[in-house]
Amino acid sequence: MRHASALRMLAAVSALAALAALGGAPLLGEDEAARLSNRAAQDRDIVYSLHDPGAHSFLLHHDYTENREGMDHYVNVVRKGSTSSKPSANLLDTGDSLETRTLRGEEISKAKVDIGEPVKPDSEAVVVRFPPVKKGRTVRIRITETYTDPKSYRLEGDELVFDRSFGRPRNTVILPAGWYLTASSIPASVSETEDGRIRLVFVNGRPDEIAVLLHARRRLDTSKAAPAR
Amino acid sequence: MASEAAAALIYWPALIPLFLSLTLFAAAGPAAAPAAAPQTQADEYTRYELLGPETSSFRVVYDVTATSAGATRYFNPIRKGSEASRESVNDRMTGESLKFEVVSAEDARATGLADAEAGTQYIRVALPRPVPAGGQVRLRIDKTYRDPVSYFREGDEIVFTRSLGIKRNTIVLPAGYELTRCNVPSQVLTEPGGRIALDFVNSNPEAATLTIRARRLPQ
Repeated sequence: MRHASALRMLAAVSALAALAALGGAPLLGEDEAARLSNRAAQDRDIVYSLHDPGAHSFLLHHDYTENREGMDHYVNVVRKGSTSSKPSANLLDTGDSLETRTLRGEEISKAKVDIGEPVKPDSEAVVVRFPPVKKGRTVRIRITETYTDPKSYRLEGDELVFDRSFGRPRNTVILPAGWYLTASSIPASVSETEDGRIRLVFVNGRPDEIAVLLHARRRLDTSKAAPAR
Repeated sequence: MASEAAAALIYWPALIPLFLSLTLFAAAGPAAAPAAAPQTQADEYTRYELLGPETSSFRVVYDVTATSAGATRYFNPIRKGSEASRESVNDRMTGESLKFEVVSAEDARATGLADAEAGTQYIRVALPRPVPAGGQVRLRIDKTYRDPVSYFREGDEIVFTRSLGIKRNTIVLPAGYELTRCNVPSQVLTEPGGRIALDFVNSNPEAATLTIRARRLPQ
């Protein structure tokens, strides 16, 4: 999931990083502003709840706070390789449902939605509408979608593999019911959800992406394991 | 000789500092033993291998580098509340076993560890060579701790809870157990034998107050 402004920043980062790699020049401008932004104060919280790996899909919750006066929509640009379905959104402050619309290719251009990058035939964006933010106020929004991405979420032999980069500071991944963790490339704290699913919490205080690679295996019995002997 | 004596007389003001020093030395009474240089170390890493939970025991493999120039001994504390056994020490440069003794704090203090803590026992390792100036002696201290307060069973889970002062750590679960909780962000890996291992680097200044829970997998 990407916010349009984040995409612009990422594009600037990539271009400037390439320039820096070629010439050793310092990174400047928008990238520098992004790198020096207050990471701890970012309020986005993303939860990936994995379905059975055979479906290559996961439920995704994305919470964020909008504080720009007059802002009345949120654009979620679907990552290449992923498809989004069943989008919904609600205002966490009131519980109210919000209008969501999935736009593809030309529909994005016709609706004059800025996705922070050139619109291509396979571009996909979910647009969430909400009442304009009033002066001095904020709104907290939750966007819920099902993502399908066979490349980043798959089954290899008898192992589940989840391989995805996270740019936001706070991300949670919940394994499907009946699966236990066998590997995590990035340090995470681990706990169980109330229904016994394994949950990993990643907190990245640095202004970079983390390449999360998870492996898990199915327990022989999907109920909780036998008591220790 | 006569001329030297004459020179001393001629330059007698130069002897005043020496005279003052001797006077102060006499006033201070018998000479105190020179204070031992504090023990220093680097590159510490600990691997904890949890043994069968019924034993409340875990193996501790501690890699440490002695860096106090001239030191001929290295002292490793045995944590209070932990009962140590199966100790061995190796020189990591040569792989050779090193001699060691378990000594009291008093013994440790008397033989080089000035700040040995009362009531604590120490593994006193005889270093295979004095730590060279600007150099180091790399050690591996292998021991097994029994500590029912740190490692115990609770319901259908096992719990390993311990304050870890060393910054780099690996904790290996017993065979056949899955991880259900870990409060310190850690990598999770599967070792070649199939055991789940947690790996973390504590970048905070204080010790990591680690708690791990694990549950036996269905057979």
